[in-house]
Amino acid sequence: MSMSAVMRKIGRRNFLKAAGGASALAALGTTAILRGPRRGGPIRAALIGYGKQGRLLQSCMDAEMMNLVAICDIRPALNADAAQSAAVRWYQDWRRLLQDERIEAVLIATPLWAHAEIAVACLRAGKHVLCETAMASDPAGCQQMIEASQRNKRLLAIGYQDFYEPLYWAAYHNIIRQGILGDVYTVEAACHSSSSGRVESDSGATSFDPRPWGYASLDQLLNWRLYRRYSSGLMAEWGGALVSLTNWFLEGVPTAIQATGGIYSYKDGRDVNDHVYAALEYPNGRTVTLSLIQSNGFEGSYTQFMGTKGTLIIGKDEALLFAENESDHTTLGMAKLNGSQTVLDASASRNEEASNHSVLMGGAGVGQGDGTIALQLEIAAFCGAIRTGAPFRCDAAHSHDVALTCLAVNDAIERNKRLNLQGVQAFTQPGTSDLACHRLQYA
Amino acid sequence: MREMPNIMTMQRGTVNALNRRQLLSLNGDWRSNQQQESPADYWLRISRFAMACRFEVVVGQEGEHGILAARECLDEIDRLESILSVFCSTSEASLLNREAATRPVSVGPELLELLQICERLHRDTEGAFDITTGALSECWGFQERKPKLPEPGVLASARECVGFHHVTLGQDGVVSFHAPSLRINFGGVGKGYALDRGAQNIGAHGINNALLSAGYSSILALGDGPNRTGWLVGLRDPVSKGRRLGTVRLHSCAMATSGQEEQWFEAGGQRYGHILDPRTGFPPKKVVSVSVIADSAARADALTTAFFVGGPQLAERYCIMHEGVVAVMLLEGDLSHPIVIGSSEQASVEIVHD
Repeated sequence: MSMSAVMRKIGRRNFLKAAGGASALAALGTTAILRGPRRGGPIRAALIGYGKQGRLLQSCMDAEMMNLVAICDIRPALNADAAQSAAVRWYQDWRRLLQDERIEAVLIATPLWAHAEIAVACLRAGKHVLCETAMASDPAGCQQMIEASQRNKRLLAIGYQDFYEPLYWAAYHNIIRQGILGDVYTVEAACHSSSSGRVESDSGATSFDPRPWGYASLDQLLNWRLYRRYSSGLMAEWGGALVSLTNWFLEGVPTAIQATGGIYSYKDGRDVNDHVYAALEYPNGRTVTLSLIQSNGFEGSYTQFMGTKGTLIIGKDEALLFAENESDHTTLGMAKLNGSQTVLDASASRNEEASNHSVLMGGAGVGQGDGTIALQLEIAAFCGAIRTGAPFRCDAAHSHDVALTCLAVNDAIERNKRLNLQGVQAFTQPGTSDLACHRLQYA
Repeated sequence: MREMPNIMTMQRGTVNALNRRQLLSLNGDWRSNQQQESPADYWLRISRFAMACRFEVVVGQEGEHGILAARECLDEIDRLESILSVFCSTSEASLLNREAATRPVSVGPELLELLQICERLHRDTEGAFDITTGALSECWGFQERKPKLPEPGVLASARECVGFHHVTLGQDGVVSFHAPSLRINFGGVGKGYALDRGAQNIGAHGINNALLSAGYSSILALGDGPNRTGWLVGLRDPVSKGRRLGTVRLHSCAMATSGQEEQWFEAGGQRYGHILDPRTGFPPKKVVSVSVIADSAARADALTTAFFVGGPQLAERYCIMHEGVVAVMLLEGDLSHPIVIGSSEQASVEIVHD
C-alpha cells in the first residue's frame, strides 16, 4: 500500500499521528513533507525581516506546523502590523532574540547582505534556519553558513521554493527522470519584466532613519535590491531561481560562464544591472542561456528544456510539452483535488472548446504564479525536517552552488571575462547531499 | 439484457438533495483551505487538443508514470481521430461515406468495433440514437457550422438517406451502405469512444485512479477519485450559466452531457438546435439538457443524444432495462428542477435546491 493511499484513507490529521512509527514510509518525497510536528508540537519560530516577503512567509505558516512567537524588523512602525497577537514578541535588533529560548527556528527575510551574519549567529545560538534566497552575498558568507550549520548540528534551509511547487516536482519525476525529453543539450531560461523594481514607499517608511542599521538612506533601505552594497542584483533576485531549477533538472552544476549586461533602461541611481544575459556551460555539452531584463515583460518567466525527443517549457502556471517533429503539444498543469473540489463543470459541448482552452474550472485549477502553495509546503517541510529528520529538498549544498553561480555571472560581467568553475560534478538527489560539501568554486 | 434495478426513481430533484448554500460551501474556493495544504492533494492535468475540443487526463503525481501514461492515452486519441473524423478526408469514416454506398469497404478493428457499439445502441434506444444523420446535418448546415432552415424537398431527400438499417456490418469487417448519400458521423459517440480506448493506456501503466475528459461534455472516471470519495463533477445550468444544477460523484463510470444551449440558430421566430431527431428530421424541443451516467463513455455519449431525442419516456424505458444508467434531464416548462431517472451504485447525484 502506498503512502498516498494511507493518507487518503485516514486523512491528514490522523496521518500525522499514524506516521510516528512508520519509518519505512518516510522515503517518499511528497509525503515526507507531512511527517511534520507531532512530538513537541509546532515549531516555535521567529521571523526576521518583516517586509513584503516576511509578511508573505507569515501568511503561509500552517498553525499545525509552525507557531510564530517573535518578529524582528529594524523599522518600529511595522510593529503595528505585526501586533495581532500578544503571544508574538517584537524585536528591533535580531541579536536580542538569540537569547529567546522559546525560539527553535528562525526565518530570515532580510536584505541579502545580512543573510550570512544573521544566519550564522542564529545557527550558533542553536536555532534552525530557513533563509530566503539567495544564500549569501559572497562565497565566504555561504561557506560560513554551511559550517555553522554543521558545527552546531542545526538545519540550514534555503528557500528555493520551486522544489515544493507541485508542478515542478511532478515534471522532474514524470518527465526529466523518465527520459521523455531525450538528451537535453539546450536550456533557455528567462525572467522578463518591464517594471523598474523601485519601491516609492511602504507602510513602515515614514520618517525612519536607517543609518544606524547600515543603510545610507531610506531609499537604499526600501530599494536595497537596486544597490550592490546590499544586493547581488537580478542574478540573486531572479536568476538564482532559474539556476536552481536548471541545476536540479540537469542534475549538475555549471563548469564555465560567459555573461554580459548593464544598466540600460533605468538611469535612476541604481548600481546593479537592469539587463543580464549569461551562458552557463554544463558537463556533456549542455548549455543554459539566461535572460533577465527589465525593459520588456512580454515573455514573462519561463524555463525551456530542449531535448532530442521533446521540449518542456515550464512557466508560472503550467507547463507545455512538445514532442519533437510534432506540431501539437501537451499541456501540463496541476489541480487541487481533495474530494471537495469539483474537477470540472460538465455541460454540452461549448463553443469555446474550439479555442483550445483548458476545460478545468477555476475551483480545481491551481494558479502557481504567486508561489504561495509552494511556500506553504516548503515551510511545512522545514518543520518536518526539524522534528523528524525528513530531508529538506533544497539543501544547503545546492543553494551554495546556485549562489556561487549567480555571483560568478556578476563577476563575469564585471570583468568581461569567461570564468571557469571547478567543482564536484556528481549530482545528488535533492535533500540528500552532505551539508559539508563545498562543491563549487570559481576563479 | 441485465436485471431490472431494484430502485426506479423519476422525481424532481430530490436525490440526495442539498440546499444551495451547503453545496456552494462544499465547492468553495480552494484558497479557503490554504491552511491545510497537502502535496497529495495536487493532481496532474495533462491535456491536448483533439476532435475540436481539449482532451484532459487528471492523474495523481506520486507515481512516476502519470505523464507518460497520459501522453500515450492522448496519442491513442489522436490516432482514433485520424480514423473516425469525417472532417479528415483520409479517415476511414470519410472513406466509408465516399464509397460504402457503391462497394463494400473493409474497415479496421476500431471502426468496426465502434460501428457495432452504435448498432446496438441504435437498437436499444428505439432508433433515437443514429450515426447516419450526416445527410440531415448537412442539409441543416450544421456540418459546416452555417446553420439554415432546409427546404422541405431537400429535407425529405435527406431523410431517405438516414437510418442504421441502411448499414450492413459484415463479420469480416466489410461495411456496406444501402442508401445513396448516406453519411455517418460519430459526433455523438466518438469522443466517448476515444476516452474508453485511451483509458486502456492509463490502466496499462498500473494507474487505476484518474479522470479523463473531452471538452466539458464527456467524462470517464477511473477509480474512486481524491480521498476515495468519488470524482466530483459539477452540472452546469444550461440556462443560467453561472449556476450549477447540482453535482455528481463518479466511481469508475462515465458521464456525458448534451444540450442545445451552445449550438443553435433562429429562423422565423423559432429556435433550432443542432441535435436532430433521425425519425423526423427536426430538432426535438422538449428537452433542454441531458446528462447520462453509464459504464462506458461511448455509451454515455450516445445515450445523451438518444434521450435528448426520445425524451424522459425513452430514458425511463431504457433505464428500467439497463441497470446502472442514470439520466439527469432538464425539460422545457420547468427549468429550475431537473429530473433524475434511474439509479447506479457507481455514482451519486446531488441536485441543488434554492
